[in-house]
Amino acid sequence: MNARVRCFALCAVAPVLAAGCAGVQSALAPSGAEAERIGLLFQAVTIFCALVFAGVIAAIAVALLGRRSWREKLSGEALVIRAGIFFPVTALSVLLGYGLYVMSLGSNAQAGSGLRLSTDADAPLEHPPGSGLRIAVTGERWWWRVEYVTPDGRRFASANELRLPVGEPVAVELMSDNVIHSFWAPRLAGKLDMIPGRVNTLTLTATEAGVSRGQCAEYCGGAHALMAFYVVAMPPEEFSAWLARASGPAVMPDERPAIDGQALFMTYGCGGCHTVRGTAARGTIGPDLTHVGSRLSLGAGILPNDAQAFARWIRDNQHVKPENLMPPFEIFDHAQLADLAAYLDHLE
Amino acid sequence: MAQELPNPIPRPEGELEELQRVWATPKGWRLASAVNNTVIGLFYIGAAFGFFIVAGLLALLMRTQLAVGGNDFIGQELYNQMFTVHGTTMMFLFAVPAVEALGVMLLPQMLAARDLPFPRLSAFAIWAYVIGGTVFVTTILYDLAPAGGWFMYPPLTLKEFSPGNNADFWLLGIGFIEISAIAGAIEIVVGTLRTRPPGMSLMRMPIFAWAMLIFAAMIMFAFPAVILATMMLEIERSFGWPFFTAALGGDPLLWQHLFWFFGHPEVYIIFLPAAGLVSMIVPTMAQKPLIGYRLIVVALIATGFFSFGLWVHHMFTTGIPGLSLAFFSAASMAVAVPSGIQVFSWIATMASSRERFRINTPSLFILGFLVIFTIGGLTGVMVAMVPIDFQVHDTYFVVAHFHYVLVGGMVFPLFATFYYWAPMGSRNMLSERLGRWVFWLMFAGFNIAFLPMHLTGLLGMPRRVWTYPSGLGWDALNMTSTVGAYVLGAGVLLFVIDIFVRFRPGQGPNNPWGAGTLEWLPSDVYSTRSIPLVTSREPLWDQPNLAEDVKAGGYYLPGAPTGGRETLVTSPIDARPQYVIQMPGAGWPPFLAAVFTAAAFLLLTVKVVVPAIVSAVLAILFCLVWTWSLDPGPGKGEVDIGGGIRVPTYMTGPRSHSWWAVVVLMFVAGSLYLAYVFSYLFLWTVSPEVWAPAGSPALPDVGWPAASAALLLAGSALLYGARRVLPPPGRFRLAVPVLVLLALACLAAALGSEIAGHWRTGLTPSSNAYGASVYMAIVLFGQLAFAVVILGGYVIARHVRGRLDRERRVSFDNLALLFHYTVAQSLFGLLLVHGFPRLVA
Amino acid sequence: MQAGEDPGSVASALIYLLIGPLVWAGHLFLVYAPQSALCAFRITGFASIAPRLIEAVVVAVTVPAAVALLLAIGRPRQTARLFRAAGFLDGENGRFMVSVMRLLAALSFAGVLWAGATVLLLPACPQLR
Repeated sequence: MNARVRCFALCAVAPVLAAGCAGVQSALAPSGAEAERIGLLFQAVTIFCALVFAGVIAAIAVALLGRRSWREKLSGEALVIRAGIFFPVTALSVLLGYGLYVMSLGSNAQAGSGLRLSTDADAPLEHPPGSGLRIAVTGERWWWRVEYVTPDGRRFASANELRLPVGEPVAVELMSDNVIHSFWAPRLAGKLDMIPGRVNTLTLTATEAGVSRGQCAEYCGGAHALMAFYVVAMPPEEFSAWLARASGPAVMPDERPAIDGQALFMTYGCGGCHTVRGTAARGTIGPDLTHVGSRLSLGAGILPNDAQAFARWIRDNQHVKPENLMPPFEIFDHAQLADLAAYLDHLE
Repeated sequence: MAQELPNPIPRPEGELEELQRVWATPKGWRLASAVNNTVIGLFYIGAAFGFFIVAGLLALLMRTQLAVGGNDFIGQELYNQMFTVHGTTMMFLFAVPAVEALGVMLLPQMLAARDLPFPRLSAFAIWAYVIGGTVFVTTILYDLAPAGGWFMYPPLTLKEFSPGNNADFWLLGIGFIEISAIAGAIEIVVGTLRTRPPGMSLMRMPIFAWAMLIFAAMIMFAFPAVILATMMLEIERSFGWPFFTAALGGDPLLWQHLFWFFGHPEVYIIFLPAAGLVSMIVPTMAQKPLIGYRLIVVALIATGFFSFGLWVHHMFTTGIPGLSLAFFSAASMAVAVPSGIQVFSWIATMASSRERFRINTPSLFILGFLVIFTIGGLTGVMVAMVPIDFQVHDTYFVVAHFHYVLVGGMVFPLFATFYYWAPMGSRNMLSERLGRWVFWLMFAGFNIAFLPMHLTGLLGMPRRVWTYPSGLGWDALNMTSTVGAYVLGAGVLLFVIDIFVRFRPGQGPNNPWGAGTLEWLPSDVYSTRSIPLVTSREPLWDQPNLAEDVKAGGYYLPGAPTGGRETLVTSPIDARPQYVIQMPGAGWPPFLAAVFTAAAFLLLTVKVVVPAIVSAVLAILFCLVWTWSLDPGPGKGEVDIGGGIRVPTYMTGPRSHSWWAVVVLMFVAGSLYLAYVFSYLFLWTVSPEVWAPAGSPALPDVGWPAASAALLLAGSALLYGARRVLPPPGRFRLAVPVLVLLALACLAAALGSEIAGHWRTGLTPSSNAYGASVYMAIVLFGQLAFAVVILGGYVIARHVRGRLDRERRVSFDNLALLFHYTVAQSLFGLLLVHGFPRLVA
Repeated sequence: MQAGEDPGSVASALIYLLIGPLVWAGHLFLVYAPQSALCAFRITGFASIAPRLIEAVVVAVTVPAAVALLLAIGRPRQTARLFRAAGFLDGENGRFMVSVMRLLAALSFAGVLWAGATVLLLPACPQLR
């Protein structure tokens, strides 16, 4: 895994960090096509609003403190009609037009969008953007199920992290089968809700390589505050290499603590909820752990990804993330936890 | 000036004493039985302000939790409950009731009416609200509070994801505010249109009265949507009718449509009365009439309408087609214009002041309002632009935006009102010195707290999070917001101290600000001694000696000619005297009805069914007891109100205030039904596959709805017949109860036939969204039928007891209106439920 | 008491006063409801004609709405007769009502044009995300 990327993510996750990562979740630091369009619009509108505000304050100041002759100019219906009707109507027409223009630049891909799942849920987009890579993201309580569908039809699962090739539009299909969530990666694009019974499609186009953070934006109960994710935008060739590795099975452990950890993982039934491709663990209730060790964070963007955090999560997850649906495993002793953590950390 | 007064002065001896006796306020613990607007208005404002304090304290606790990243001062579950209770309390238990309370308190004074037209209805609504609201906010103390957010989106709030009774307490709290809001709307519509003083035509109404009229009209059309939504949510939670469950053909978005069809107008429901208050205070401080009166009226009406076209504005990120969003973005632009009109009207009026615009505590709060509200309005334009909303929706930017709009647009004018209109309820004015401190602390605190939040949101912080990691650039901003919140809190605390020190219930100094409107006439428990003839918008400025002549009893209705409480009813547009309403005085039934209504809902919420039903029966019983003494009949004949005008003391038919109230109620029922029709069609567009005949059992044979329709029409005909056979006063005619009973029986049979028809096809309400929709039509029919049956029994009882005849028949007219409305609505329902699936099949 | 202040004529006066916002509300309903319903239909082959149909509906609703509002602004007295509200137009009160009606209609005109113009800039059904 890219060292720079990991460092960046770590500093964002670790509470010790200083100003270095500020802006990793900022809509004001766009690194995606939609976010850039909106950023520009936002700047323009902010300047406009600041000017209007200054005008209003000036008018109030004159009305209160101005000379009589100045005040008389303000004190008639003419002011109301000019400043209160004609100006707003004109200005708002321009703003509305600009807003609609920015909207019209959004993706035109249609099928599946906002429509019911009922009949052809899995039908691919009629005109997928870019190379045809799709990512299905499902909002869970309280994490993100991620499934990549390559143009040649391969599918593989991941969680709590999106990898994107820079410069290529990728269709992200947003779903939920529980409560409503909202997918928001501010540096890439605006948010779009995940609503049971519907599929919403958001097209993400990363414009520069790097890591950014996203978070659930629709209150989804319980641990809503602790439902984050990372987006890693990679140069296309790096992305292809990653895709090849990530779509494959898990690495088998070849040294002591990890081998013991795997045995524990299998015997204590972790596979009932989690999948580790290439092993007997095929559960789908919880996140896919095939390459969990290579992700930037644990627990949906709330813990750094290291052996210690794995141990903490397994034993103490109800404190780390109250109400999450994984039971706390207090049955393991320290040595066992260390083994398990080593195994999971090794699943790169 | 040689103005001829309608009445000779001095007035005969004993007239004033009679007036005082009739309007006397009950003493001691009997105060709870009072119904006069100045008394219960104070309770109302006090309660609303109390809820404001509670919700504000919750906000301070939440700000404390958010002061630093990774804090664990308040845990996740409690925090989620706290923001839900904070939002719900502020919106439903503080903001709407507070402005409604000001309407109850100030409107009759501004219109120089002796009281609102239905004093007992006000009392009922207020006590139901106080009890229900108190129970709701205390749930936070024992972990029973809802945690679904004030907007309560399903599926999160369905049984599956919110087990326990917590969410039901939210529905309970809302139930009360729905009742009191509708009651208030009836009161205010009829009050502003029918109890204005002679001569106060529509164009001379104080702006606050315009604002309240539009406020009430908006409630009539906005609240029914949320009433229907809450009914459906509670039914789905309790009985599993899948309105919102996608797997069974329901749709979570249905809730969002209904909730925001209410929720967006709600913001303006709160803002318009506050803007009306500003339009009253600014001219006083400028000592000049409002510039652009007609423009402000236009702005108020336009806001009222346009605000209904904005609801999808809250759903910009739900993934509905871009063009749909654009329609609502356009409407959001349209609603910005009226706010601009108002802001510049106020500025123009300030500038028109002959000397400088007076600066004191009320006007400081007005200026603070202007600054804050302008910022909120401008960020409102930003979020109205769809792409910007994609980013800032559900972030702290939006938190900042709507606090600027609501605190700026409503709380600051409210504090201005407290200082300005204090003499309406207190013998002392509030402290001017402390008042300035209150203002500056609140103004500074507010901006320190909320201005940084714009940036916090843009830097990516979502709303409704109980914690956040440090290091995302949010730490310093959050700390600043927390500090600001405490400064704001200190300002409010200082105000509370001022209240304790200075506020003494009673009548304060006369017109301390030199205002021009009628609430500043000298008044007592009976309001003004006589009801003036108004010839301008600022009568106190334009009609010399008005105050003295009114106080001396020189104008209309200087006494109590019927020997009871009364006020003058005038025509709705030109305000010409029509008749004198005889109004009820203090009494316990409204209070007890409210207590038992509250008990019924509460017990039902905690699933204690039998006592709940007993309470409901008692509540209905006390309502009937309270109405029994109304509808006094024409026995008092005509009275002289002065100026040679003799008017009747009793009115039936379309001119009666009671008829108007029932018409308002029918509008409410009608918009509730339209919301249902929308829901039915909406669910069909999202899940046509569960609709009959393909996805559900085929509809019953046409004979069933035909039979129901025939029964309904027969019922209407029978009731019409009953009206024809009403005997003259003093006689009893058996045909009346027989015909009324038969009409009620027809209604019940129609309902029964509708239920039986569907049940026999095997359709059940919980099978899918179609079944739920079909049976929901029946629920709405049954609900009206239930009310009609109670009212029918009441009418029969009155006839039997000799209290209802051909002349004394307001109760009968009300029954007839409601009955025919029920028939019309149900016929339409039959057409929809039985016709629509056949049409599209 | 003045003749004609019965509920019927008060309602006429009210409707007259509110022509602008009522037309605006009707317009919003008649563009939004067909648009969202037509986009929701998933009948095979329908998807291709739906956008044309929606554009046609929006234009067909916007033009008459805008014309109606202009007529109300330009011909307030004739409009009043049409709504049986002419009896209220005399004197000071009448002038007030006419001016309120016209201003409301003017604001609504802007609202109708804004909503109608959106169809020129955006496709009918896509989410545009």
